[in-house]
Amino acid sequence: VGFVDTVFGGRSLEALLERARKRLAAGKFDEALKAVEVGLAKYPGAAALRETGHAVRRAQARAGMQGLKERIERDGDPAAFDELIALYREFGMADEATRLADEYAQEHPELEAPHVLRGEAALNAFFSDLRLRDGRQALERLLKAGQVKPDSVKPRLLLAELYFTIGADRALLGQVAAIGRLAKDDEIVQPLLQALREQAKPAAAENVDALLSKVEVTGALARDPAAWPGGSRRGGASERDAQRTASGLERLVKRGDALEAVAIDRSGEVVSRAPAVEEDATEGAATLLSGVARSVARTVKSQAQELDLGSFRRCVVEGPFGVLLVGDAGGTLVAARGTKGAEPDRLWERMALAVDAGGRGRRS
Amino acid sequence: VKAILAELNATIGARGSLVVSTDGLLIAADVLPGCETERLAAMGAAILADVGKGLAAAGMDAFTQCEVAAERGKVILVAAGPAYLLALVGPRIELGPGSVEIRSAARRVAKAAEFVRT
Repeated sequence: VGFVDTVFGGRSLEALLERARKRLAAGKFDEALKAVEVGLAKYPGAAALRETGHAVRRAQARAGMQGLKERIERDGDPAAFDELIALYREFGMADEATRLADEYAQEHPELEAPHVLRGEAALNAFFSDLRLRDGRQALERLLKAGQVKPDSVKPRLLLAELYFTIGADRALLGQVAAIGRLAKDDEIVQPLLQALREQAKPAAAENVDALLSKVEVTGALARDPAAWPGGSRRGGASERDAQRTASGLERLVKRGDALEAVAIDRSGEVVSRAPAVEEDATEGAATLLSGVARSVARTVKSQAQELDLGSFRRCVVEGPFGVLLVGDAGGTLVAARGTKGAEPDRLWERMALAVDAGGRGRRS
Repeated sequence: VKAILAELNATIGARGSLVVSTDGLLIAADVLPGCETERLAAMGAAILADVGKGLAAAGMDAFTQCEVAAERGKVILVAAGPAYLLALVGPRIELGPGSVEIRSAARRVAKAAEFVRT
């Protein structure tokens, strides 16, 4: 009976699912994944099998996390800290990763890694929400990492990225010179440093903290992180993405879902606008929406942080002027204005879809 | 007004709600423990002032309702006669400024404010 079941019964979708689930319940994750793989090879369209596969991976990660937590409890093993932070990041648990990096830095202040991890997390938060607090935190942690290990290139590169985006070009050139000495034969780093030297326009006097404050006050960076010569590592849009977003917004307006729409990057520059402004047209009406969008986003982003509501997702403002939607799509600010009485959820859905077509959409 | 706010919080499961004047002054509040009235009122005042200024600069009229959605919560601001009603709710609550409960509370706040004025 066992043989017949293996040969015939064991090949049905239900039997494969059952096998995977049983292995999952028994904590035999590798075997469960194997059963899912076998099933997907036979039934590639089976959604239930895919879901079971996700469930197995989540359970496996949870088990792994538990084991790492125990190792950290037991002996504060730095490798366990590194692995657990990486796992948290992989599963999108940013708050947990940040908390653990703080704990790691407290337990091992003599190591470079926790300061770099915390500094990088703060840098990402700064680029996302443009908050002074995060910028200062990134600066402090990355400087500390540099003190702990003066010949390390990574914290210096991250510091250079921070200085580049806030327009602290004197400080940027200082880091460029230091990195140049530390990585003088590095074929990847040297062209990056050359590009930074060419772009930097150092002022006679420069105050990094004042430049960080300016970002929060104006709600814009001096340079978009996507313009970093090393490539758009932080969710910045590629040129192709930008073109897709532009055509997505154009479609949104053409279909009558919105009267006008704009996309604004983190340096406050309008990257797409619909309807497109004719070349000989004067700025004015076309810039009103972007102006309102910047002002709305600046206020609500900082207020959401003050109330500890986490990252800003979207804002819907309604009035006699119609419906105004401002949302965050992977670091790009998108805004659209619909007619009075337009259904905001529907407009948001359409806008998210239009921006998704640009590869960066994110719904709240 | 406090009774209207308490009832609204209980009905929609809000963490807190309050009424602010159009210039951002706190009139009444009912918030759950852990939710700071001052911070919430400051948020209402900032949205009214800054968003209002942004709209005015673009030649647009004052807003009648505003919803700010963030990762861990949502703030809803609705015009209530000479004031604004603000509610702070969780991220998963499928509520918006157009929901019956919030509109009804805003109407009652507007009536109460009219009564006080007359």
